[in-house]
Amino acid sequence: MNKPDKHDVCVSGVGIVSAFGDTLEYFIKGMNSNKSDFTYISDEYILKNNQIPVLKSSCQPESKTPEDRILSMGNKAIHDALKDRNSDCLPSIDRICLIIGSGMGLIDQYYYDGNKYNESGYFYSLAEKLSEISKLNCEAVYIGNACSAGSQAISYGMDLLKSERYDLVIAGGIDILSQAAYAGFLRLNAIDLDGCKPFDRRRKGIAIGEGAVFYTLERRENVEFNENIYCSLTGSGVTCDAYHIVQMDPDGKEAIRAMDQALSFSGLKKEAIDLIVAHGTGTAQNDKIESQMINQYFADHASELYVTAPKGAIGHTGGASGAFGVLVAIGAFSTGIIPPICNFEEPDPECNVSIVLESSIKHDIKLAMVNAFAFGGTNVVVLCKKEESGVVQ
Amino acid sequence: MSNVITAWDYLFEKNFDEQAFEHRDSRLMGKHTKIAVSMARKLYTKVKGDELKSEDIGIVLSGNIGVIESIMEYNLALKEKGYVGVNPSKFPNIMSATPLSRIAIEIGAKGPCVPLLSSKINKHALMYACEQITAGRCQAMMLIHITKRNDCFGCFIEEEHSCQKRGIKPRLIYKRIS
Repeated sequence: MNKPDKHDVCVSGVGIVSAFGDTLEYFIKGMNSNKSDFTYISDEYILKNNQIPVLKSSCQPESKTPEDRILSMGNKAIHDALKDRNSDCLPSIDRICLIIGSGMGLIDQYYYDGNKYNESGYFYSLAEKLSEISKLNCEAVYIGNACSAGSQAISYGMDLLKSERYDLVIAGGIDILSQAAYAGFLRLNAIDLDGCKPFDRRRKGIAIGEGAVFYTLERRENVEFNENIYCSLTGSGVTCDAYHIVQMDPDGKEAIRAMDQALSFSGLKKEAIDLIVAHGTGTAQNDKIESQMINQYFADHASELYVTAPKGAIGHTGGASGAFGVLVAIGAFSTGIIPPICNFEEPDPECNVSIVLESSIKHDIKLAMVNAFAFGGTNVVVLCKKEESGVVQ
Repeated sequence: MSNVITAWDYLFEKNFDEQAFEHRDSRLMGKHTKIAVSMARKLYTKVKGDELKSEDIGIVLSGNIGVIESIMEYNLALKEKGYVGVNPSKFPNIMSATPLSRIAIEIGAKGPCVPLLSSKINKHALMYACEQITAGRCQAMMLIHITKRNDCFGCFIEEEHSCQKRGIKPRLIYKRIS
């Protein structure tokens, strides 16, 4: 392992709104329980298609509109991350940047307002609105790169901190239950109404989820006073398939390059990786390709690492999914327990990787790779490293 | 070595001939996407993009209203007929990642690609591009910004030595401002 450097990017605060609750403890407990808690919602969200199973964030008060919902979830997660980080000293930090990753953003609000929101900028104002209601005096950036948006927000935050453009970055992902997305995925036959089963032979697609996770990120030199370091982010890789607007490139070459780029930036070897938090959507093709990539890239080491996928438990949280992947890694660092893949029952010979099966596994995880692959072909891989001291329990 | 801007161009909506736009998926694409793809073609030709490795080119697609036309069309179908009325081939059009993907496929850009959205002027579009080059993820970034009127500005940013190899002169040098 390489030595800590003052430019390392550290996670100093976490804020969560998830299907399992709004604290890291609840989230970890939920992930390790091997249960997904379906809520059935009716035409409040999905018109003309009653009683749809979704994974709704449990701690969210009923929101009047999609805009209310996304802003209150985002505000809570951002607020909690800052509180966790200890926001008392925020006024002394001059250069703060808020980076929001969201695939669908405010799209559903148009529907609720009868398509009348036509003024310039409304749709793209999510980051500015969240910055405003969070009462943050900062730059606000909105990355709308589908399912990799949250990971890409974190990756960009790492870049900005390493180049010393900012001293504190609040980055993460958010998406709400979206009827627009739900309708589209239904029409693409990409939803498994019996629940998402990543890497299982019976898998038929995604389950719709929602949630928000935000992190406060800082250079190590600024957090050394702080015992509240969850992990360091040692490298990230960002590539594009340039292949198809919705399908992954079956050869996985660019996704593998993103893995390699992340490792190369971190100065670590692939043998150091203990855990892969897979994108694992539960769709037939994507899980097969991701398994093949892991085997191809890690070769002999593939059998020595663990692969888990949170979407069986929390559903596909869209632009937040990569940020939730980082949260799974943090949970594994702090408890020494890797959560199982929820709903997994039948192994698929085409997904021949070391997946964590019916129950959680105890293992001292030191380095985790978090994958996020999006509609449009963007691949983002983030490497998370356990802090030997100061890991939050 | 500095980052330099080697080309830029404008494409105004009023000058864009949608009927003349040729693409295999043209019937599925919104005007916003067609304009963005047209700009990408122009810039790519100008900077001799085919002499760069596809892994070395990334894209920033920036804008303040983006795919709104596609969203409104989609919402209308959803409202009138429910999910069965939605055209699955047009579903991806409501995501900001889709026009970006169209550009990436068009020019074969396999470097970092991002849609950066803001209701205001977005200085992070330029900053993101430069950060990716400086970090070493790619040698060049194409930046395309589309306004609410579908007017488009594009520029090509790259490492100085990268353009020298292709015999292209830098037109502006990018100096970092914090």
